[in-house]
Amino acid sequence: MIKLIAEWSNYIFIFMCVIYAISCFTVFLPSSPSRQAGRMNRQEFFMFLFHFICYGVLFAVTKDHMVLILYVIQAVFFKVLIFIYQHVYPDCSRIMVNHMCFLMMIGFVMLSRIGLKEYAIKQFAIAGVFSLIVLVVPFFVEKAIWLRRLRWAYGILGLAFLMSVKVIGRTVNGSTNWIALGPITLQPMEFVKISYIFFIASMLGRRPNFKRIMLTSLFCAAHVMVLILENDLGGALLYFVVFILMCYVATGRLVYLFGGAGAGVVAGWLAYMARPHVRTRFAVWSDPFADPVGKGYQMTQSLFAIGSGGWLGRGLTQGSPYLIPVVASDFIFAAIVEELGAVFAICLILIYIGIFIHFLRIAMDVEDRFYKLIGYGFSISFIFQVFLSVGGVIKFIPSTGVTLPLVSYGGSSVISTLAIFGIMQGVFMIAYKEDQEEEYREAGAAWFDETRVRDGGYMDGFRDGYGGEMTGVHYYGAGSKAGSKAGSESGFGPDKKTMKSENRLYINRERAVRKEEGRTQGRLYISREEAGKKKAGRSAVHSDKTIRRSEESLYNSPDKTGRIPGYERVSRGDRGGQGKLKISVFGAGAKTRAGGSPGADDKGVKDLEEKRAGKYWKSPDDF
Amino acid sequence: MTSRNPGDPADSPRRSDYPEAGQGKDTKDKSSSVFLRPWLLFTPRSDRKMRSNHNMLITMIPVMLLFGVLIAYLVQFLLFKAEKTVASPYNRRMAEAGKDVIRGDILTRDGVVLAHTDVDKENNEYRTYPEGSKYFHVVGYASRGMSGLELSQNFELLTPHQALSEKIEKEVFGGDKSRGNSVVTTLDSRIQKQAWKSMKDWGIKKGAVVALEPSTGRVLAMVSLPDYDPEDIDADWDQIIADEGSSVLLNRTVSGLYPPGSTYKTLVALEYLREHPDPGDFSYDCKDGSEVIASVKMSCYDGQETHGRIGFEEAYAESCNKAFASMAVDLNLSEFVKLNEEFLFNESIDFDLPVKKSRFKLTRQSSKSQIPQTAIGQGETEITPLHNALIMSAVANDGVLMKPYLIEKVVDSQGNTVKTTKPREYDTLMTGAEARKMQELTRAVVESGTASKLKDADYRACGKTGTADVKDKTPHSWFVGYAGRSEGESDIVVCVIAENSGSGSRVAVPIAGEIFDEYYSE
Repeated sequence: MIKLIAEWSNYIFIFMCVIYAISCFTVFLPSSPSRQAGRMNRQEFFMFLFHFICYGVLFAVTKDHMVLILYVIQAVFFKVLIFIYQHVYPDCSRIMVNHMCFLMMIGFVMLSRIGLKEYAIKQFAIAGVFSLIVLVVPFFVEKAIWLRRLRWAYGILGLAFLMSVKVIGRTVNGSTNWIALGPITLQPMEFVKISYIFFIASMLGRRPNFKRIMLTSLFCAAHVMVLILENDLGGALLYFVVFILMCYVATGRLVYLFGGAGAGVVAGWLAYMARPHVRTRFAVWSDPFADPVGKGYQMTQSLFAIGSGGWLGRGLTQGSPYLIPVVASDFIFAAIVEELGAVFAICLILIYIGIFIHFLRIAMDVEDRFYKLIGYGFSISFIFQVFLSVGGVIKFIPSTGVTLPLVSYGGSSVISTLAIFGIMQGVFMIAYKEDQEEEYREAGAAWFDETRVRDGGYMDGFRDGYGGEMTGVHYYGAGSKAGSKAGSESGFGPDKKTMKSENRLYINRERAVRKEEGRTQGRLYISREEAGKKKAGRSAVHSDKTIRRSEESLYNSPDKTGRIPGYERVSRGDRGGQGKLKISVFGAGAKTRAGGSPGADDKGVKDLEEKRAGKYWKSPDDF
Repeated sequence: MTSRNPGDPADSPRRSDYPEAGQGKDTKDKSSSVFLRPWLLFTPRSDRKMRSNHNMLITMIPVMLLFGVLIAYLVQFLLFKAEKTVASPYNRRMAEAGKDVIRGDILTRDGVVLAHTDVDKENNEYRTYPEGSKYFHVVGYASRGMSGLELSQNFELLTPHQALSEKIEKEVFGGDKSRGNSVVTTLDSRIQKQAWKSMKDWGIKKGAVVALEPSTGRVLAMVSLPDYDPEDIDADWDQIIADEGSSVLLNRTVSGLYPPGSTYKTLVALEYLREHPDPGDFSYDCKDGSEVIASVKMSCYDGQETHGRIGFEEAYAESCNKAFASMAVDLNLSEFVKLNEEFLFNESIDFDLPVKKSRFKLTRQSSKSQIPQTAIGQGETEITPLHNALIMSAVANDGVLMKPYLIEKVVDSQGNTVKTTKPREYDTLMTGAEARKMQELTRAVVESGTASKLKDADYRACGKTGTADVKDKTPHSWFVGYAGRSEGESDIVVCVIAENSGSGSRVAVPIAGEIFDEYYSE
């Protein structure tokens, strides 16, 4: 009976995973925010259902109450985690949160099946605690602008940490890449990965010159060498690929890509000649059946598992994954294929690819070079790690002993991957903030130009006050945190940094009352005529709360003036935005204060608004 | 921040508290060649030209390709390799499956049970082999490791194929263990029995017989001697292992490598035909004693036989070594090597049992003195009986080699067919015209040559004998031939090798004759 349940529930998993995997890619299609929100909710539903059924099957088979307890705690934990992300970081990428949770769920389920007491509880404890701890990471990344200045600190500390295994190291599975600190064992390679990418990004993010590039590559080569000496071939390969690709993107010169690849081939050949460990791995890869009970044991067992799982899998608890050595960490993919089937496993790969594309998009969206490189480095390291892990398990490439991110057992691996997700959320929010700044800047510039035409004297003062740069204006925007903070003090005041003049600009929006879309987030659409062409598709997302707060403070402000009809635009895609918002841009007024520049009076502003309504702001019908 | 005109295009819209590239050296000297200023290649592009996003997208292409190939690899593994991999005796999963499943049967095509698992009242399982040692090598054994079809079909035998309702019934109400699928082989019990009996009757201690259908590739019989009763193998294991000389466990049909002797002349004759479309011009005067050809001393059978002045057909029919050696030294060596490669030498043959690669050592650079011995099948060439039968089956089937197979179909415990093997072409090895000429030659062997014992049969037999010299021992006796009811037809190919039994015509031909007789006795 149980066997039957296990087999049939498998078909449900496969069905759900296929849908989930498809939704990974459809989110990149342009669509309305409500559909987008629907996708997110569906994803969430599927993953909780998957989690529920899996633990149901596990309980039916083991009749162990620990399974039930673990399930309940996990389900609550995931719900809380998603809730916290949505409320602490309303601007975060919801799909990334979903992916993170789903991968962890798959990992927990497989580990509970392989060894509840040995693996699952410990892994959940570590992942649970640390996913709460890394909640501060996005905030930290967003705020800590000094991160880019640490440069050499990353390199030197990272290298030192990496080398610490030579002093307090431990050998596990032929690789000396663990350190023991009392009862805790760590894999420095996983943590140094982060500092390593920060190092490269901070070095090459500044104006790169040849000397700087060479210095950076020397340091990176040192990292790779240490890893090779520790017999951590997967790590060495990962670090190497990350460096040459980041170097290529930072310089735009193919010479680094090909030169690096050439150097890599030479280094690989040298390693092959000099390190027997490398030769063994290679020999096992080329013919695992030459020594199926000795060196090739792990590889052949993995292939048996994959082969006997087939397309649809043998059903959760129906396989024999424990026959594969190190199945919980490096070879978990084989266990997944055996029990959940190859279709499920391929969908899992597709989810990883979806995350990679998402990471890459964040890297492409963010303008700041430092964050751009960080985003790119993490996307490459993430996807390449998946490639090494999966490829090694299915004998596509020699096995390098790399974990499958968030699914494999391993505290260091899961902590560092969670941190990477946190950092990427931070970069995502930075990209979003930049985006928003641009919106405001453009809107401000439109107003600025117009005002200047009408009231040259005043605007000159305005311009002088801001050093002629429009960058300051965006802080008036109601949506950004800075804006609402300032707004709470005195309507919408300028950011303190740029408060050189008392001139004020008010831009606000109105929320459309649409009940079916009345979710927690809204969108701000501001543009002007030129921008409509140039920047079509730009938009920004705001939490409901932020908007409401901004609106309140606007209406309470004494400067409430006329209004200009706004318009809507097609949403942009993946922001996880929920609900559409109709925008009106409220009148912009400027006030004269002692010591400030001359400003426009209320009447002047009204004139301006009328004029602008016809000239600068497009109505939805025109669009 | 300095005061700049906001309309100035050079004014970056970004705040620039962070240094940006853009004033690199390369922007100044756009006209100069990269060859004159190689360092330009290394100088990072200026900010506007860097196109980071573009480059990121470019690097996404290899990543996607890599994953495409990765998934394709997984898919092809599951489609084509998984079954064979899983059948490995090292797969402990199969042993575990054996706990829930009773091993299926192995049968001949005409329904004779070759292997069956009996279950007694205490639920102990015994694997029985009703036909005893006759099918020992091809069926194999399932204890003490595995071999033969028991090994290669392990996965099928342990896989129950049940209807859902039955499955539910079993799961809900419990019940007996389910039975694995049964494997129906292409073997024909009559032919197998006759082949085995003839070998025994002729007192052959070591040797092999392969019989197959040239038009489909179905293997009808596979006998390898010495044999053993598979039911005793467990008890006598240590003794069998200790006795290295007898090589009881070796399946000689697929793993025995023998010098092909004169049977190899078929390929020499074919190459000669290709280079000389009209072989009527060929003539050779076979005199007493030996002759030196390409600095090698050659003689015919026993060193005594003489054939006189003979043409091409007589040379083949009477198996004149000297004539073939002189024919071979003039062949285009590289074409000849290519021919051997086409005929599956040094290549693994795809079959339901693992087949050893036949060896052919001549290369395009080999010296002429190696050719005469090779041409008469001595030299360093070695061939498996199955391979030799396949070459003859290509001749018999008008040049088309069918893929040999042993598994007719897989049926479930209720007898419903799970899957069936369809005959498949392996390769076209010669043209129809070439095949017809080869058929004439092989017929001449029976009509007027070394296999004349088959001349008066009711069927039309063709073939080639061989006598493979072995150092200090009686030579191996070969016959590989086919038979049909009339000209241009072929129903069965038989390959016989009897180790250390004398000339081909004396031993192997009559054995093959008995098998043909049995085949046509219906």
